[in-house]
Amino acid sequence: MHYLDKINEMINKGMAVVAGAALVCMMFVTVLDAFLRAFAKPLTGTFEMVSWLAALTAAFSLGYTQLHKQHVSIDLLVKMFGVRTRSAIEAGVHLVSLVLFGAVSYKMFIYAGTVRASGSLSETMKVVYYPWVYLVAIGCLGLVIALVLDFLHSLRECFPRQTTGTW
Amino acid sequence: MNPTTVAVLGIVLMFVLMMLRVPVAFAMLLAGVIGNAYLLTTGVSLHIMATNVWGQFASYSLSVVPLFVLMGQITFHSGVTERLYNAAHKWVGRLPGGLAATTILASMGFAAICGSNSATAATMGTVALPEMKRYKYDGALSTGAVAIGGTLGVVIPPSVVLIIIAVQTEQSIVKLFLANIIPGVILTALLLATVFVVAFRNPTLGPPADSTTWKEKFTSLTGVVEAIALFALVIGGLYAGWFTPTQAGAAGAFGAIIIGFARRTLSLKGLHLAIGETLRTSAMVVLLITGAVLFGKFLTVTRLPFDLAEWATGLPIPPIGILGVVLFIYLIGGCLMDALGFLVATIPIFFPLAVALGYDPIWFTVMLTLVTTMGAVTPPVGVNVYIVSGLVPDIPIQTIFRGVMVFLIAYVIVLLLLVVFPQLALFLPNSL
Repeated sequence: MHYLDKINEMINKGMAVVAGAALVCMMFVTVLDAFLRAFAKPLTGTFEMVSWLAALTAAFSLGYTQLHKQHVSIDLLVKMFGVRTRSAIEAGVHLVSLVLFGAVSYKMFIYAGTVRASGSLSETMKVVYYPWVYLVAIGCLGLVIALVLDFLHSLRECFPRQTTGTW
Repeated sequence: MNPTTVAVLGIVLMFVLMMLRVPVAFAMLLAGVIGNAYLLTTGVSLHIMATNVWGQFASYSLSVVPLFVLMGQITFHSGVTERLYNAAHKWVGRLPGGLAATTILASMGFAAICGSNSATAATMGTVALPEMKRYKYDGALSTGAVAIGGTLGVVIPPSVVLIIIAVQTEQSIVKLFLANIIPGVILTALLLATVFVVAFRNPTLGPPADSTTWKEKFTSLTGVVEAIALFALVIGGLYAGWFTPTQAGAAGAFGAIIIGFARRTLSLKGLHLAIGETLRTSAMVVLLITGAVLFGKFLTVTRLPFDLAEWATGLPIPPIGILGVVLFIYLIGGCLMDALGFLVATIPIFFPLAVALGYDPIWFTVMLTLVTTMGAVTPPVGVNVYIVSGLVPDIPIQTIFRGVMVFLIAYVIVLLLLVVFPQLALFLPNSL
């Protein structure tokens, strides 16, 4: 389990580094465009580039956000239950969530494939944009990995390993 | 099953999932996908989901979120809070209740460059609470001032909540920012008045701090310059039409980094922490909007928002009565669950209703922002109160809630003023 946790952290923190780089690039590209616009020479395609970088920033931070449990949730009701019940509910929640985002990721890969096959180009820069759709699908996969680990942890809390006594 | 019943069941499913601690964004996505699958087909529903995820993640209008969050985080890690607090301390600290007033003023200053409720409360709390403790301030007054001051982070632009509502309801971010300026200033003035009334009635609650010379007062103002410069760059740039909201966010973040490094108040570690927190907040917000938009699409298929609006406009009740009920629902919702989550989940239901009742969308958004922001300081789920409680574990949480209550009068007065004088919110956006 410890080994799996390490892999999860490595993947999602690595993706967060890429997301951070995309965020900084987005800031610089936008500032440069605003500056050049003042001289009537805006950067062509800024709108598209910023949109794609924003997609990469958000998608590659999904799993990292889950590592820090920062997706907003409400524990008004669940905190009233005992530890075992709470863990069982959490396991169920994580299972449902990972199935949901597994489906999101899978459908995003299919969608990226469709965009690629259709040969769609972006409106301004006239370049293929399907790689960015693939990157969003990969970002969702990062969240799925974090959710799988959360699910396993909840299961472990639900059925703690017996350290003393014998069968 | 008729579509209205499906819509109601979808809403119930969403709230049940939320109560089971499914993250709000996930609950909205799931309810939306299942609802669409029932009404259309599973294949179509999943396709709508995929295109919606791509559409929201790669939306230029949403790119404004990480940039404004980054600006707030950079200023937070640059120690702007301390300098704002220090300046306000020098000017009003020696009055009865002066340090609580200082907290509110500095919160307003920080709110003008940071769009987060919790960040404002957390940063201000770490600076202000030890100082008020040193001068033997009443626990309820000191913690109440910090918690309520934090709410200004949402009310005063730039505000992440306003950006979220603007994107969700397809309104102009610039107009919403401008609409909140006058109500935000009035609210700050009323919160200050509350502090002085409380301290005047019982001076032992907020003893005056040491007096300062005029030289100290004016010297302290250098600490305010950067906040004013950033606010002027961002809001002034938007108002003058120099920037789009995304450009304003980027310029604000870039400006904050330059100022932080030039003043040597921002370290590389601080920048690293700011980027990390920005990524987490942005992913959370973008996913919330993605879920809300998908859930909204499901509700649109069922036609529930339109049927509800039609039904409500046909009721023999004046629109203001219906509006009162809607705002009351938001108040209770904000009390019971995370205010932002509740807001995002219910906008697809109530926003079309308010528009159908003939209310100006900008005015309604300002009202909504104020009401749901109150949820951040009301029991049982008052985010700001929990943040303050974490900073001062020796003060019982009930004391903090008690300290906040007196300040809520200011909120109610601002809401009433906006009902009587809608121009307070509409004047600036209409002047564009």
